Amino acid sequence: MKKATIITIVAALLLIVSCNVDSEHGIYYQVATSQPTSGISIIQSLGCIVEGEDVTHIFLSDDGLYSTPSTKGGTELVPGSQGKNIRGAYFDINFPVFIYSDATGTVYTLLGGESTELGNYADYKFEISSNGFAYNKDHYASVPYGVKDAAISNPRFNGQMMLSMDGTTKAKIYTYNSDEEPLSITGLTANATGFTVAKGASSYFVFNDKSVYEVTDTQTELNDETLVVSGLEAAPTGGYKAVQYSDDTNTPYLLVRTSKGFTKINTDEDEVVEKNVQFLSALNDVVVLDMYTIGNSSKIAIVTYANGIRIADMENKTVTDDIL
Amino acid sequence: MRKHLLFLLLILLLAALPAFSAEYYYEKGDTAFTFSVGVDFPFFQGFTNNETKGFEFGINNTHTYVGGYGALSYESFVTRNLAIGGEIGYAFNNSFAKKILTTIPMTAKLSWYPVQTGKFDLILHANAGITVIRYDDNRFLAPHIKLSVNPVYYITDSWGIGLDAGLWANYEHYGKSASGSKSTESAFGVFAPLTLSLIYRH
Repeated sequence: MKKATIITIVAALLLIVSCNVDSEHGIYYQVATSQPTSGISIIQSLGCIVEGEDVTHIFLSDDGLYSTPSTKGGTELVPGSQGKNIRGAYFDINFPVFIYSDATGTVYTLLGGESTELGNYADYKFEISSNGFAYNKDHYASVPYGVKDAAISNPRFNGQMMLSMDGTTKAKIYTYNSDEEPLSITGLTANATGFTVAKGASSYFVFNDKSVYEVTDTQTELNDETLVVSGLEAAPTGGYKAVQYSDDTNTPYLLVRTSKGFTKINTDEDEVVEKNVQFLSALNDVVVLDMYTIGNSSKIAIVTYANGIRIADMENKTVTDDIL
Repeated sequence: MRKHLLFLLLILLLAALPAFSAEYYYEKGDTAFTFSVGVDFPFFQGFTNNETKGFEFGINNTHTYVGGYGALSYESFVTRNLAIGGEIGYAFNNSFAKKILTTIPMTAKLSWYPVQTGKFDLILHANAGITVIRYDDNRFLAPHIKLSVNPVYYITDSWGIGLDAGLWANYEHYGKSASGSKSTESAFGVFAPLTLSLIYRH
């Protein structure tokens, strides 16, 4: 009887202890790195408008299209049920115009606060991505449309690039030029895991198999010549996110979101400067949707899924609380 | 000014000395039942094997808000000023992510009664045992200790109320073979409970 009691107690203790065996992080680590949730689920980042000191961030949440700054949660750009049905949007800052599509496949422009219907593309099940592609979400291999200048077009516009699937579930990257067949990036050794546009140049940083490459829109091969760095930490779910910025000496850096945190790369020297950027470590475990620079400054907006928008000052090594 | 302060302290110490004298109120075999409830302040988290995290103090660094603490204990006097028994507690604190961190300590308890006048007790408690830590569907069984000081005023011969202030600590240990990056995430969690206690003695 005594033996049975001891075995029961030991078994119960082992059961309790084993409960945290499979988790990736320790409990106090999870607590120490927990971040306040904004109460807003951002599903797409559309960048920002800078006018002097005023910065307006634009994003699509599961509740509609919003801009900051304003009251908590931002300003609703498309009111009512139409706004709540938006599934994808693109903001063309040069026009400036919003193009968005809703759940029925209808595409609209939003100019000066007024919505205009461009047409219904229900057959294509359009979704519009942040870099100006309207694509068929059920058929990634299908030819996407481009959206720009308050118009929707096929063929696409010059220099646009997208991550796509080739029909065999392998992710590929294409660059598009009007009136030409898309150029597929070659030299991929695994699934492509993302790309980002280089600042002030017609080139892209492409991520493949824990390496980052820099290619132009006509130079489409990943090789030793185009390699920037290798041996990055793995990509988080949803692929690498990255942004290029410059410091006050005009040295170009690439800030990359990896599965372990943030890595800073000097893209002139092709070297990793800091593997786990310390002042951003509080954001190591949040889901990052997008990162972009605020104007020409070294301030970077880090747009998260559930933890709002944070502004990282890369010069002063500070990061703000959620600005929403 | 300093001399006056020293003098005042000396007077207070002398005044308190009779309370520490060997006059005992309790007898061996007396018992005490205590119910405590109050607030639980995050004090610090100490990462013992992590390059980027060390000892982080306060709400903003522990990412934990002020929470609640409650405990039940039963003790029996083994000498006229020492009691031993057991305690079960429950502590909860919200993290910045609005998820609840709970701790359920089950401990052996040693209490020393250096001051016991019948109307007033000053009690020092030391607890040691195990605790179940729970957060976001993760659980961990950890060693737990608690130290506290507990002045008590007795309203009747049997019933008293007191204020209990102290520190408790858990240690979440992961060895080198732990999965994920947990081997660098061994940590102390230290909190400061402040509770009102209701005591029944006989």
